[in-house]
Amino acid sequence: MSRASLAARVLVLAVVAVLVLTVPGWAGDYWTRILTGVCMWAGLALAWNVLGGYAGYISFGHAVFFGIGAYATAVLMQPGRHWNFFLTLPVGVAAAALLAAVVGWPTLKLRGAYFAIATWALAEAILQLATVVGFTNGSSGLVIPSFASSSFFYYAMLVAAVLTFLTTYTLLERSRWGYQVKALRDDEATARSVGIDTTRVKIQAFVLSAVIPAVFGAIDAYWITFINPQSVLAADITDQMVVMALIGGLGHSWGPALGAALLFVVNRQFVAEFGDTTSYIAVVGALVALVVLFLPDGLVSLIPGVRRLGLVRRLLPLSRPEAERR
Amino acid sequence: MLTAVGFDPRTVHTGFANGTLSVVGLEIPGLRLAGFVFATVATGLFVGFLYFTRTGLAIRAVAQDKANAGLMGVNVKRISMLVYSIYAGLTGMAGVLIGAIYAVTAQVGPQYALLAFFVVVVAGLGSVLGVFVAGLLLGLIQAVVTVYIGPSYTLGIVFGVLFVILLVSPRGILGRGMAV
Repeated sequence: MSRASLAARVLVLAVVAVLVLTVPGWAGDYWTRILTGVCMWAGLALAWNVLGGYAGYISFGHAVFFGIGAYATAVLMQPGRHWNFFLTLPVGVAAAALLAAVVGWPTLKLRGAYFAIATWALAEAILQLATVVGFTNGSSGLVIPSFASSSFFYYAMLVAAVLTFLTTYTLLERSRWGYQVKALRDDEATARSVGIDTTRVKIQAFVLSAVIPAVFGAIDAYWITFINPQSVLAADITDQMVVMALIGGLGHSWGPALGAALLFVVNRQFVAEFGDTTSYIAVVGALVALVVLFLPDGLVSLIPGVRRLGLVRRLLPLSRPEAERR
Repeated sequence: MLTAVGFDPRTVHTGFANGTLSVVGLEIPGLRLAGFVFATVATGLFVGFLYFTRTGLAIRAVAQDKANAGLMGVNVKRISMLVYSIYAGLTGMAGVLIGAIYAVTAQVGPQYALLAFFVVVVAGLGSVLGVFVAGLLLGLIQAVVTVYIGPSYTLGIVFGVLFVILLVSPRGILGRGMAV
């Protein structure tokens, strides 16, 4: 790279960084809130992408981990206990990691559509469980002592999203472990034959992709100040992550974040224009169909020089080619 | 869908709606009996089609191995399209019955999709006998849990059972499904 273009890059990055860091100052409440959501969904889509895009396991149950983080924070911050918010984070993360490890060990033996159905069933079972056990207060939900500072939540989500990106990027694109995960996705038998402990790598990827949503769930609960099973455990949270990762670019290091930003802003604009999100779902449906048919590597593949992985055709449970079955 | 038909639950009104039939001391609501008969006949016809016609044979061949079926002269693309339309048609028929028995909104889809997954997975992909067993099991679990434990536990337990069966026996409870 020539010196001039390097300088130009640094300059652009610096301007973007300053703009991003000063959002609460110039964007106004409405856009600050939307950008907070963008950060959250970007982080969630990146987390889902660890398992879906890199390890090749399409999970339809990731809302569970988001919900666990949210519930850990909400339960521990109830008036009787009132823990500090930051102390509740590790609890949610630990719970999500534990669940992911325990559930992942048997579930990750399944492949393709079976894994997707198993995670979906698990998510639905836990959603139903949350409506009947005592400490979640059932479907009436929990109210969390509010902390009304939109800039705090913007920065919290921003830091979480940036850390998510740096963690996933370092681990998956710049480490031996990243190669192991991708090898496992591309051909599990071969990965095993060259000495990769695929079971361990799969579970590690599952745990990594589970703890991140727990963090965002915790911040989200504190931000929204009210949660119930439908708002933090429902399947549409998972669906959003899947669709965002898919539209942005499955298996790409920052593509899912791009998809998340685009879809979330579109979603909010639909709410602002029409007052509901049902017409948004129709648009997203059409968009997903178009992307799968004509742009299988997502929006990032429009950028020249981005490597095409062709993962959609290989991984989506219902469109798996026969070559996979051996 | 939601934009087109709105959020209000709707019911389908039929001539059977209020009639009941008494069979050896059991009161059977006419509508549900009609649903049962209809489902049995539709399934029977479908199984017959699948196992006793050339097209049915082609469908099963495609399910086993697309490439080989293609080599044997099966038009894989056409068969896939046919299967998809049959699937959509059968689901639509089931939808009519469900609409007659329960209230429906445009949002009922996913929940029934999950129950359908339950039946298919528990049956084992591609096993028709398994579908009957699994359907019966699903109905029993729902009814028993609703009566003896409580209606709010039903779905949780159904999905818990689905999850466990997937882990323990991914080829279905009869072990006849296709390999994972």
